[in-house]
Amino acid sequence: MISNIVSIVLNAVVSLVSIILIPIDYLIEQNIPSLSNILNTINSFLDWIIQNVGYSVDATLLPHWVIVVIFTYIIFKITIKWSVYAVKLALKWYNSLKT
Amino acid sequence: MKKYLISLILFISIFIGFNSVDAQEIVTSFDRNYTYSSYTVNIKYSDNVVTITQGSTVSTYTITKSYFIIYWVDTHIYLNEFDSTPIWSLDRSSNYASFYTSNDSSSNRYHKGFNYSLSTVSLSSSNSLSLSVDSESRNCSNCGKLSQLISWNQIYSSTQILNSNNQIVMEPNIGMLSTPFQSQDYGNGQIGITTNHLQITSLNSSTIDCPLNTDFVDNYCNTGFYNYSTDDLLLNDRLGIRLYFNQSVPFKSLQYYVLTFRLNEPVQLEPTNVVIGSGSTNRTAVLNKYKVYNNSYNDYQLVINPNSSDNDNNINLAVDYIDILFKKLDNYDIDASNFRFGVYNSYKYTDASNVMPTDEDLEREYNSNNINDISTGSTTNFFNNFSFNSHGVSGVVTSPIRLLNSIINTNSCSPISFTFPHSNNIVTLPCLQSYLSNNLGTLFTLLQFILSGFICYRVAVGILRTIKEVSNPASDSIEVVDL
Repeated sequence: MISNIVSIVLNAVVSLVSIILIPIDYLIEQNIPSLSNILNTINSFLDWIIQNVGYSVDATLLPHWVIVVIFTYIIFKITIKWSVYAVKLALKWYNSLKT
Repeated sequence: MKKYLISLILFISIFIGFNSVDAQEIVTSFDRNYTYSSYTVNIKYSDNVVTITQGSTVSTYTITKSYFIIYWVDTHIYLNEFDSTPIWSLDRSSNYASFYTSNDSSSNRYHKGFNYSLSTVSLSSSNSLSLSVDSESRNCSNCGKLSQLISWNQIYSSTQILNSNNQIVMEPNIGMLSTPFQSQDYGNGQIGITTNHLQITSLNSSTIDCPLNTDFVDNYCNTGFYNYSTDDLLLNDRLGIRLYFNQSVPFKSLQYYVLTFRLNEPVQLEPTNVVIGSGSTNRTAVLNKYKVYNNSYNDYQLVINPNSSDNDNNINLAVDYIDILFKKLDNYDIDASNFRFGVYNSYKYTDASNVMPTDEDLEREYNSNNINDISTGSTTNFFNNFSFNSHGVSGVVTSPIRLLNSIINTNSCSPISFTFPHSNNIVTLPCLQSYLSNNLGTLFTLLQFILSGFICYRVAVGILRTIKEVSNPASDSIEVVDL
């Protein structure tokens, strides 16, 4: 459940970034094909790593649910701190405007 | 400390992997019943002997090689052995399945045509790879249906044939070449048929010789792929293929002749209609492109249509299709060193746009002894699975997030196998958890329990500390986020 939610969020971020970068990709592909090839090669290498990440995860000897807990905790910690900061900043602005 | 721990784990994994090359077998025996259509078959495998029982018929077969595949097509059960990791592949559009190995160049290649409609491919917990067939496709009423691939004795081999979209790696269809080709003064760099022999001769004078039978129906021959070098291509504008239709063998009505070739370069020829030859001897042909899912190369078929006058015995038609092909390739700046060419089949097709094997073809099982080369583009080798995708900047930028997503969602481990350079030894690194679980048993469970407990404790403490920090309304301090 948690991993699904996190996965949905991450996929949404990936999709948004991809949509934003599509025009840049197109421009590079059309005008600087050699750079496009280099980027594709780097990306293929990264894909290759991602495809085999299961082996590395397995080598940690941790069950899958523990991995999910760790990443969820990290995301939770970051999200809470930034949320509190954002709320405080908003209140600060509100008070400034009010006075 | 963390670096040392990770290094230690990797070292242990690699050490175990190198020491377990000879201990790869996961499936050592099985005894199962399979039901398909209206019959049931029992298949047992133990001590390298396969026993297949169907009704009162009992067949035994001794496995002599490292890998084997059992499957059935309609009421026929097939068993095939391999010296090295087998790959099997299907092509939805061409009704073909093939079984072959990546690095066996001679006797271990197996091909079979099927009629199927692929619905799902799954890897079950019982170490079997199953292919669901939901319906027959196309209009080949007597074609076989690939029902199930029952087992092979090293399960990780099967996990590697699926790409990220759960599609099966496809190999273009199979080498059968019938007689209506005849050589006439073909030279280097051309292909042709001498008396009962098919030969491909390159400019460096190496020759593939493939014996042919004299009987028309049974004539088929696999030439495999042939590598042309860049020099070959540059030296001869008309290099490649010259096919001569045999004068002595009558063309049969509705007989289509098929050339299959492969381009390793990322050049895509669009399916098109072409005219071969000129004048009264010309023939129309259709260039079909295979649907190759995750291979870097492109496969094509040139289906040459029959001509009404082909029933006469006086046709002598030279086909210089390769000229047409190279004219198309001239539009691309490619390195022709990876150009591969294989002429290897000719079936009796009924429709050029819907190529399919005939019933006779479906019944053929052919282990060719004349394969000159097997493409390395679709092997299950760990390093050869590296493929190009057009993601560009967006792919690079989003790769950390995709990595994170992959870590969270990856709940399985596939053993990594690769071939040592300059050696045929396949090294397999097993998954550490499964290996330790098998060898340590309860001790490993205890180890995992302790590790998980410690991490959960740290996480709980971290959550409480975070909540405590957040719940202090008096604090205005902004902490740097500790990533």
